[in-house]
Amino acid sequence: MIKSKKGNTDLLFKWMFGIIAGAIVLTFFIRFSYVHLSGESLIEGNRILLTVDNKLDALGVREGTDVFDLKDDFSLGFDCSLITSGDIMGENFFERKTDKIIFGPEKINDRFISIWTKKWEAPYGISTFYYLKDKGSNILLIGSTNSEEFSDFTGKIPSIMGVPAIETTQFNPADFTSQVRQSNKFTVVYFDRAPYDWSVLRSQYGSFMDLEVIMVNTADHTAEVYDYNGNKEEVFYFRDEMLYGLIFSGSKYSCTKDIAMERFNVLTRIYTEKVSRIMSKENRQECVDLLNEARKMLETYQNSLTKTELYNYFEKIEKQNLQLEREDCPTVY
Amino acid sequence: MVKKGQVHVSETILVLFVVVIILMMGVTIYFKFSVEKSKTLAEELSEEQATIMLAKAVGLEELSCEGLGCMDTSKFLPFKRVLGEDFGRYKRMFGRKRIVVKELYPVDDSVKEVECDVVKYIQMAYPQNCGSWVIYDYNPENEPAAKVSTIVSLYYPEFDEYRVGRLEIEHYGDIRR
Repeated sequence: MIKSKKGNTDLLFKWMFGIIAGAIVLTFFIRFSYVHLSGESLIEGNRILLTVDNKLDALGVREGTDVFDLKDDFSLGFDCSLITSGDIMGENFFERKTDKIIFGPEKINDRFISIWTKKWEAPYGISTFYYLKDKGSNILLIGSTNSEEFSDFTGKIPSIMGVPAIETTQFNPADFTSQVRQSNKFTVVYFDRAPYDWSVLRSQYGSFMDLEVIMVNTADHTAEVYDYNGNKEEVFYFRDEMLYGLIFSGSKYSCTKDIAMERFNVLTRIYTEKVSRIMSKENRQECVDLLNEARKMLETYQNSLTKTELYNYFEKIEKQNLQLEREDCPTVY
Repeated sequence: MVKKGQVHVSETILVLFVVVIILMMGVTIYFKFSVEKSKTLAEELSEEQATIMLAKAVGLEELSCEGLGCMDTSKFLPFKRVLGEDFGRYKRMFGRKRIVVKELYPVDDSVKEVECDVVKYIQMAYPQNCGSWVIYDYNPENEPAAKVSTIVSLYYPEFDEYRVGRLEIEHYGDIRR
């Protein structure tokens, strides 16, 4: 009887030992697999973002164009100051903060990305703008091809970006139906005259993609942007580089423009202080006077509240810099 | 007296126990190697990023001469002031790095390592009284650094003079921002 009880206890102990030891070993392996797999996924996700970020940095050193081959179809997002990969609700969503000013569609789902970089000067260099486009986002520029301004503007867009320009009178929405239906996003940009508004185009093309319409007023440097829901937003642009940004980013323009204007403020502060310091080292009174005028102008320029002021002061600073150069004084930029 | 069957069970348990221990050790070693591999990858990426940063910093509007491929020394102090007011902006740009510009020629050995600041700038002896600028420095975890550098042309607009310098970027095997 006693023997039998002892045997039961031994067996019970062995089972308990087996279950507990087995559970510990199993937990160890499960945890290892989880950490290993999530770590690999984290590295891979961040590596893609870092690669894109580094490639943009390398390309941004000077003006130019390129086509990035990501070697696979990726879902990349460019949301103001963030570069993201994957879907926001998905497990493989990663994000990386960026300092770059990127104008492009909100999402790019393609292996190839066309990129164009251009310096934004106002009148001194402020930043490099990045314009991005994939083949799922199509843009159509409509304006008067007889106008020198429109021809100049469209002529500067590199062919690699694939942005056609057509004469306003020749624009027939029906001609573009098949192209529109193959797009994820279709942006129609009118210069000064809009023969068909957002609702007419929407009824023509349907709701298979995101349709955006931009009406640019070149005389005023303003534009009306109609997003994919037909909601209107009024925006302004400072110099052509920013207008290109509006065309490539559409309804996502405002946030990126604000970052660009913040950078404009920072650079103007640097130039204002630079001029103040140079003044303290200058011996020639005529140069000190000219530099002082430039410093005051820069201070006013930095606090400009309207686009009219921005354009006015821009010209004045350009002239002052030229005057300093003529007088053989140190220049603003 | 221990029965033969009991000895067999004990042996089996012992063997299993040893096998499991060896397996766990193997997995742990593999895991450590994996972590090391990731660290090496992070260091490689950090170096790649720092090298790109060298080219970027030379052309950065905050520090460069307008379209002349040189660095404008008169912008360094204003930049440091802006950096102090809005560090987050530049942390996003440079990440964990230390960026230093050093004058190489012509500069006295005695002032080579002397940092140029506002006090040095307002002295009559400037630019002969100092030889380096710490443009940016962020290393919160005091990690050991690796360095990349390039020769740059330094422009002093106050004197309309060009000098030879070196831009150095220390990076910390880290790609975080």
